[in-house]
Amino acid sequence: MRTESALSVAVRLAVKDLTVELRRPHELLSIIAFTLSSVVVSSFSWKAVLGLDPVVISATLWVIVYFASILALTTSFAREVDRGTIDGLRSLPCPPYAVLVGKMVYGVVTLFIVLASLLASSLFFMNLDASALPALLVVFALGAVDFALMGSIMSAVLMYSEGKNLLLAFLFFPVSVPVLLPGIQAGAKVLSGAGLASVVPELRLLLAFMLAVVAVSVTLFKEIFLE
Amino acid sequence: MAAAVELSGVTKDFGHMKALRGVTLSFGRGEKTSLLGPNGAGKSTLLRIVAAQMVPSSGSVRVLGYDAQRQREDVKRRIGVVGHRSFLYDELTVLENLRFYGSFHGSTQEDYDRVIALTGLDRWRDVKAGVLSYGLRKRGDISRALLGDPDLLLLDEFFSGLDVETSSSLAQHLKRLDDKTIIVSSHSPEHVQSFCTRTVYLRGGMVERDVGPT
Repeated sequence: MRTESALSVAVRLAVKDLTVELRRPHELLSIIAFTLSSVVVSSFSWKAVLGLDPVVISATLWVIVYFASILALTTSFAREVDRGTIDGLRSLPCPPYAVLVGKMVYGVVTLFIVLASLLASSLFFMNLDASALPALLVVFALGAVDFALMGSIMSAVLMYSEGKNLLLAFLFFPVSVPVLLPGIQAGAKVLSGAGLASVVPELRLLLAFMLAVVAVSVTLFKEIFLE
Repeated sequence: MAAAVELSGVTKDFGHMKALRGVTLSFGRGEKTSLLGPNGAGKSTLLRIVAAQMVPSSGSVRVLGYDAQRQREDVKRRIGVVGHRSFLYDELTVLENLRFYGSFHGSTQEDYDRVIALTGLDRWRDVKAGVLSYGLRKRGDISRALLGDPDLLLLDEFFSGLDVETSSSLAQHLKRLDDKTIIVSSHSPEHVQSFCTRTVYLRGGMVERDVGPT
């Protein structure tokens, strides 16, 4: 299958997942509710104790994205297994990696929705400087893509495990460190007024990690997907 | 004419458990075969290997002239699979489910109308799969499996959980598919005997008996 058609397969799979998700919106809404309430509670707390320090705000936003990712991505493959539709995906005449890329695209779109609600609410509750928003968006978008890719492959690895949600929550942390450290630093710099040019090293790290995850995932997924 | 499915010395191990122990079988084109045997006999494993969804531990499998391990996509493009659990998504209507799966076979609206009519699902085409009865859902699964006009249908525990009336009705539907090779696994022979001309008995991962034309 050519790259174009593998991509179109992935998009079709992602559209299917999004349609299914939007018809049972309670999970997505609960993640958005978690995001909004976390921003509100954090803004009250930090304002009273520490003031709105850019490092603290950046770390807080990343912690919210991190937990939202766990909530959003644990169900990615697990739900297909629980419902028996995983064998439907296995029956599709397409390369296994197209199925994974489809799940990744779905994860990215879901996290972008969460990110939109996070940054919009942060503008209001954490008094973020609106001029920093474009650069902040780039930093967090890259991180969200990293989380979506990582969460999708980990969800696939753990899809048949007992207590997969708990396992993912534990295993997601060590592999998230390469995203969280540069992400928090880059976020703090941007919130301090530095431009996007000042966070290029951190963005490179996020990008390199993304490529590494894609390479490992595509290589491993066939063995995971086919029994 | 070449066989539709040829298995040669196929084994499948799950750790220490041997699900299949050197199965050698051949299924002719257009032949309708029932795979019978108790739980754990290896029926589902055999079907999954033929469907190119599972990799055998050893042995070779050819499906419709293709190597089931090296040419998986070609195999999957030409077969229809109905698992013992439905592949339909609860939140999508019957037609939306068919459109999703059919998009991988280049199916058209005409194809959807044809398979819906064939399985008598016209009244339920715009109903979400999640609210369908078990029997209607099975019909939806057959419709899905028939997309792409497959030469081979693999039906795993197809009649499990169905009442006698629905089972007979579905057996009649399958009987009408003259040109298709069908391999259907079942615990019990009642419903499969009405349309299958051959019966393969599996036990302990081996062929115990093979009764029928081939």
